[in-house]
Amino acid sequence: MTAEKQTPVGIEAKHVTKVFNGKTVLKDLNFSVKPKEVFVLMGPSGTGKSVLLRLIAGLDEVTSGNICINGTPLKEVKRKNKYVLGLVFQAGALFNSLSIFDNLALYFREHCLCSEKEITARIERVLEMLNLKGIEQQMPSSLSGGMKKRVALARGLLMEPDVLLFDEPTSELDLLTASSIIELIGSVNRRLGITTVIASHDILLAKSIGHHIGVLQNGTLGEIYTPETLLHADNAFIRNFLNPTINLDHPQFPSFLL
Amino acid sequence: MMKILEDWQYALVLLFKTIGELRFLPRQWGRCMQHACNMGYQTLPIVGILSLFMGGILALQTGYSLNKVPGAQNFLGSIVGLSMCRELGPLMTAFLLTGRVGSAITAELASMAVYQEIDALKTMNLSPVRLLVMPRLLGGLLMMPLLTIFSNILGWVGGWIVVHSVDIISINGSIYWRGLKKFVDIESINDGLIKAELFALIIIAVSCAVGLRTRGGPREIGASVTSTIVQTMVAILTCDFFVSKWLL
Repeated sequence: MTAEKQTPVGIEAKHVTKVFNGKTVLKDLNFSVKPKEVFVLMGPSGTGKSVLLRLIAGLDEVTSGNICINGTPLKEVKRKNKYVLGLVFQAGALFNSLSIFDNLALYFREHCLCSEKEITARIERVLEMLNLKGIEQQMPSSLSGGMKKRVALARGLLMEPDVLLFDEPTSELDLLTASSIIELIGSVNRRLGITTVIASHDILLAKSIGHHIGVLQNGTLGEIYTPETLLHADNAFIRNFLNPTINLDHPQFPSFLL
Repeated sequence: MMKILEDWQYALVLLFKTIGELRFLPRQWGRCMQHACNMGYQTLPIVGILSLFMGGILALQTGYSLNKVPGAQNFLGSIVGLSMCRELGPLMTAFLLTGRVGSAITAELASMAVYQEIDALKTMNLSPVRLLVMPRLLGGLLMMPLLTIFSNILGWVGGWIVVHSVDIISINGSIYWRGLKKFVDIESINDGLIKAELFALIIIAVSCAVGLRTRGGPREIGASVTSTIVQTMVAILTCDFFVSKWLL
């Protein structure tokens, strides 16, 4: 596992389809993420971005098709614990009954990876890098949304993942905090070379740090864009998604409210 | 109905998975003890109060009825003693554990499931069964017999207080204790403890299963807690009937 950690990891999805209760959420998706690159999955809410992330993380199983990490099918990756896949959840998903320090230490302690002294040193280093020093003994409920996301990122980084997956990392944040999160993700990718997949509808994030961008539309993924080609995409849906028009005279405004 | 069957099926799966995780018990022993202590701390006072009154009420009602038959009150000690240790002690403790501990387990695990904490554990390659189910299950199995013994003793004492202080019961305390000692043997106490352990398995397994299977939002957490209490009580009473029949 250590030897393979040195090798950057790529992801390949072939004919991935996911059906929930008879409803097809993802239809025949094909894409690949090159090692060390940031792949941004964009699309309106409810198009299956988070579902796709869960499939890559191995939390749900594909209905048909397959996802491979460096050519190894995901099932085998999970079974053999071959690569570490870190998922940073939209709301952080920190353990509310544990302090921030215990949240971050849980992975090491349960897998008996290193001594308590080493765990403390590692956590301190990562918290310092993310500007979070001094919050170790606080509980997750006392943190702001932005801090929770950064702690979740710290937890993901401490796992030393081969692939980092982010679910809406900038949602519910003000522009300033969102841009600091974008900077963090970008610098982590640049400095550590961790292959990153981000589900987001934030065009600023996609433009700033995405190497390739896929836009999900009704569960299907069309062309894969670069930040430059995305802005000039010859697709009405994408153009409308990136530059929505705002109509103040809503045609369906209910008359009883007037 | 289908959901209840699915919950019970998942509870069984959790029990088997817990057996598979027992090899990690030494590392989880601290958590097991922590859960056992919490369960005891939460349940002990209420078990004590209710058992004391249950024993008292049983002695009062039975003593009043036996008053009509000359000499029958001499059996009051044995009736209270056997009723408490074979049936009322384990059953009442199980119901209280369901209300105090089972509901709390479901609420906690359902909240973890809804807010993706369970998914976070899975992405860290940590088994929710090992970290969340096994410590609670073993904690419950450790604490339930102790609570049941405590309930039995308090029930017997409650009966004695009534015998000692209520005029319509014409026997004295020593006859009550003599009758109790004569009929309550180790086998009767063991039968009660076997039931207690089975009830603990049902309570913790169903509570964990319902909690972990919760999807949706805060409303579903509340619904899961209600569902746990109803399902557990039905399962406990059903199990009690068949186990009593088997043990008699």
